[in-house]
Amino acid sequence: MDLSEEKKIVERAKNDPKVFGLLYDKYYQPIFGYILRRTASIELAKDITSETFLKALKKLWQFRWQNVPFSAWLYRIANNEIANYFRKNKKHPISLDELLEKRGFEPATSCNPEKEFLKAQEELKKYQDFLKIQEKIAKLPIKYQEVIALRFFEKKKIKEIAQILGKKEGTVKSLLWRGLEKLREIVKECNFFQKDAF
Amino acid sequence: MRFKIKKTQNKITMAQKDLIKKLENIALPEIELQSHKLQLKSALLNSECFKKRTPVIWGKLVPLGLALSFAIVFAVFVINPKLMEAKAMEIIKKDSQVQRFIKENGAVIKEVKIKGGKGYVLLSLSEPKVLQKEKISTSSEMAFGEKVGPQFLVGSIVKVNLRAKKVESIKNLTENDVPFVPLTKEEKAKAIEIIKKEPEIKEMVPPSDKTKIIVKPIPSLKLRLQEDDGKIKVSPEPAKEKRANVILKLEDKQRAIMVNLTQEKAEKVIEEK
Repeated sequence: MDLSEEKKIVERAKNDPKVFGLLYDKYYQPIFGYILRRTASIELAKDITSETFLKALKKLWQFRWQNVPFSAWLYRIANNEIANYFRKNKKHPISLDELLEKRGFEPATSCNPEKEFLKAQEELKKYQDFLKIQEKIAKLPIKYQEVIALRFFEKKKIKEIAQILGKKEGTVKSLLWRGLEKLREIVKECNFFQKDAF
Repeated sequence: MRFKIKKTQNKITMAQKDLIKKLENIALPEIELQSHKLQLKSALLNSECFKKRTPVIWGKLVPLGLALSFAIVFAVFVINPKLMEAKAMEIIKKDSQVQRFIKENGAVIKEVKIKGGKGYVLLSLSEPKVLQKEKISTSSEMAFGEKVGPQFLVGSIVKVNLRAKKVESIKNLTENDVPFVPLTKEEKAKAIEIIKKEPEIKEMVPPSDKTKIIVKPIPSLKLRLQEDDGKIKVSPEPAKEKRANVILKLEDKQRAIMVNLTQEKAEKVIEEK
């Protein structure tokens, strides 16, 4: 889907739930995956993803196309929601259960959510190297966490990160360099690069 | 020196290269939660915020638009003219000629109108003031025909240039400047009939073939400003009672009798030598 095509879809999505559904289908997995890799928690990823898409839906009518992929806007909302969670740990993001309770709507699903959740947790535990480095990254200030996660976990280019964060490419490079430097120091302290760490 | 230090700092060290390599090659979790994806999608697409988005927007915009329109209309048609009127009043209060007229004649500001960037201020006298030297008794609704008797000053119109913030002209108004409705033949006959019935007047006016009788309407001296044909003009306020002047032109003198046509009685006699 090129940018002009996506622009038309986003405009239609403002008034058509079905078209919004198309955008949701396309971007649910990248956003959920990003939040999961930022939080290293299935539970948090579920809740923050719900909050992100609910915010996107509420604010979609205000969305103005600026020749930037729609995904950049979703990543930015996700970043804000993650930052909100880390800053005000007291405020728990809206859970899907809460959302369903509010709407009074329980859709039928062929999957067993609980089973799926447990399975996902088990699956996550297999990625020990990731969990260890994620634990170190989580100690960094949010601005460094964002650039490192986007660059190395989401494999985004500097230009794309700049679009998501609304910063200049030079600023992103600088943040990335300083973030890596700080991360190296944390890792060094913990002897993270010992062979048995991986 | 400082630059060199900075350059060294930005240099990627071996340890950093190693870290980058490790980060690039780390195995990342790619977990999918199909049940969550489906449930969230259903919840979002069926959410009230999606259904009510359009009405919510209009619901907010319509009252806002109405309030804004009302504010504009109110400002243009109510506040602005009031401000202009206040400005005109302020200008005339500072004008010495107008202040002298008010002081000398006991005039009051009756009305202000704004037209084409000009302010028109009507100064009205509490009692008409005779412009000639003769001293006669006056009443608020008393006047004479154009060529008969003394002339009365009834007020003044002050034209104010609002942009230049100065008084442009002051025009004194006499009863002749006030338009009036002419009497019908029946009303004229009725006025003559009334004075003939009054015994006092009979005595004052001896029957004579040479006596010439003229009947003229009395315009109301209660004035107001009115826009007519794009111009601001003075017009009388509608009088509750209709009056006429019956002028008796005798050989050596003339008498004017004010007749109340509504109450069918003579009210005043003025004698001129």
